[in-house]
Amino acid sequence: MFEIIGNYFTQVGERLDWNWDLVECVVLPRLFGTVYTDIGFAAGCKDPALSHEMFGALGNTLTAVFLGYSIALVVGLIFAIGQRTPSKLLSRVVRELVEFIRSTPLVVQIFFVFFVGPQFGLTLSPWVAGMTAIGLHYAAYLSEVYRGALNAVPAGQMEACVALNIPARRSFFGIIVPQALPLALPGMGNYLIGIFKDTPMLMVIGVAEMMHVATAIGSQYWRYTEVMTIVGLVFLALSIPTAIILRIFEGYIRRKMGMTR
Amino acid sequence: MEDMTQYPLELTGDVPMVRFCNVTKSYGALVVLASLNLDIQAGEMVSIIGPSGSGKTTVLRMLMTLEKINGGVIYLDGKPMTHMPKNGVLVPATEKYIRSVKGDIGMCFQHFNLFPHMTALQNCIEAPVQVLGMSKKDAIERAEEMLDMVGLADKKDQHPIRLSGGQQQRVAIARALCMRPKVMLLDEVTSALDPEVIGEVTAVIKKLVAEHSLTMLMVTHQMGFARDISDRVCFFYDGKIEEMGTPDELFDSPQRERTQQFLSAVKSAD
Repeated sequence: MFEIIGNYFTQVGERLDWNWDLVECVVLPRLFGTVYTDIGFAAGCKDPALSHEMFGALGNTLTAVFLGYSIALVVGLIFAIGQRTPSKLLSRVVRELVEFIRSTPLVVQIFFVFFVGPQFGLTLSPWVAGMTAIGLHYAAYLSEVYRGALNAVPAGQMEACVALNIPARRSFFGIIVPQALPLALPGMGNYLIGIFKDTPMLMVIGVAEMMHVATAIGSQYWRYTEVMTIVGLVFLALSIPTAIILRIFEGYIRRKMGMTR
Repeated sequence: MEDMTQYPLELTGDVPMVRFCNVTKSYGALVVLASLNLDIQAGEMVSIIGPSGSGKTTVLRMLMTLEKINGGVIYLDGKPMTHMPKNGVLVPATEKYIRSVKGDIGMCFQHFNLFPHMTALQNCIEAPVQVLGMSKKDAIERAEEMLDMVGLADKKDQHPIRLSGGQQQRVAIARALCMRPKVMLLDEVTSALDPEVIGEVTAVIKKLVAEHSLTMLMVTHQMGFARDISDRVCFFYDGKIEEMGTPDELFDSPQRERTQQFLSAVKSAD
């Protein structure tokens, strides 16, 4: 049994056309930037394909995640609050906006902001257009996470605030939001990983994140195996620890909030 | 439209602490309270009893401004609180006006509604610091005094989840008292408690009645307790005060048939 499986992998290994020189001298320098070559890797390469950036394509991907997620966290909260206001008109408008954003593909939105915007006098750089699209898209998702978490805080908490005469703003940010936070964290973590894995869509407007660089290398050398495998492994290597850290953080917040014994 | 000129801008003479004046409350076609008239004197302890759905809790919630009223006026210490004077007549009060008058009212709930992310002490100082603008030091001093009064000085750094139901309700009472209210509303404060801890909460309430000159309005299902500590008992039925009197009058010789039925039903359930 084990012999058969072992043989299978040996055969796959023999058939797999894998070029370590390409990985060392092109793929890794472009993905990880000058940091990689400065450390002393790629020393044996005659002509390593240097990245211009210090942290290479990975740096751009992580920057996109950080900026996009930051926008989404804040705008998502604004969307969620907008749906809770007493004004029927405002909450309806925000509701429909969220529904609209959620119901169209991210890649279409990225194209639209970047290519159609200029026709209306809105010319944005790839980075600004990309961050706007990805930030708003995930803001719509996050607003639903926030909304669910805020609704899950018992109505009695707000009533206690009214009974104690606590002002509305303090009631919301000091009493309701802290209780909603542990409830929102699983969903928030989910979309952090989601946004990370959706950054490749930014390649369509020329943001030099990992996928953009990967396809460039692929078409230049007409070899995709190495670069796509490495990119996939980088995503995997970062997603899994992020998920674990988020879980630990959630437990920490719950204990800190006195939510568990 | 209701003729608002029939209501005085301010009560004069012998002013009750709370006056419900023709107060009505309805949800759509469902009338919860029909023209409620009730005075509560300063320092008086009034209990409200009655079957479920008779509007007992609604009375407290309206006074706490948790429910908007559909008609009539509620006066607090002589001043209107659901309405405010404007150009010589009463108009519906703004949020700001309501906030300026309702500070004299405190309330405790059936399910305590303590803030779970704060310790007992933090629960007690939250409103004094945020609303009254007290310094943290003064607020802590006052909160410790109140927690001591309810017998929980040693639990001040515990989160609600680590306290029993009875202890949580006592913290809730201390939290309300930290705001130094003139009127205290108790909404079925023992209904969610295990039988063996009800006594510790009722003991605190008895102590409050004995030692402080608070005006109290209490909704309860514990007839014995209501009888022991009330100055007056109101029996609510179908959105109206069916009968009202001293505990002895109401419990020993109820006049109305509904009251008799209710009391005998409660007695046989015990």
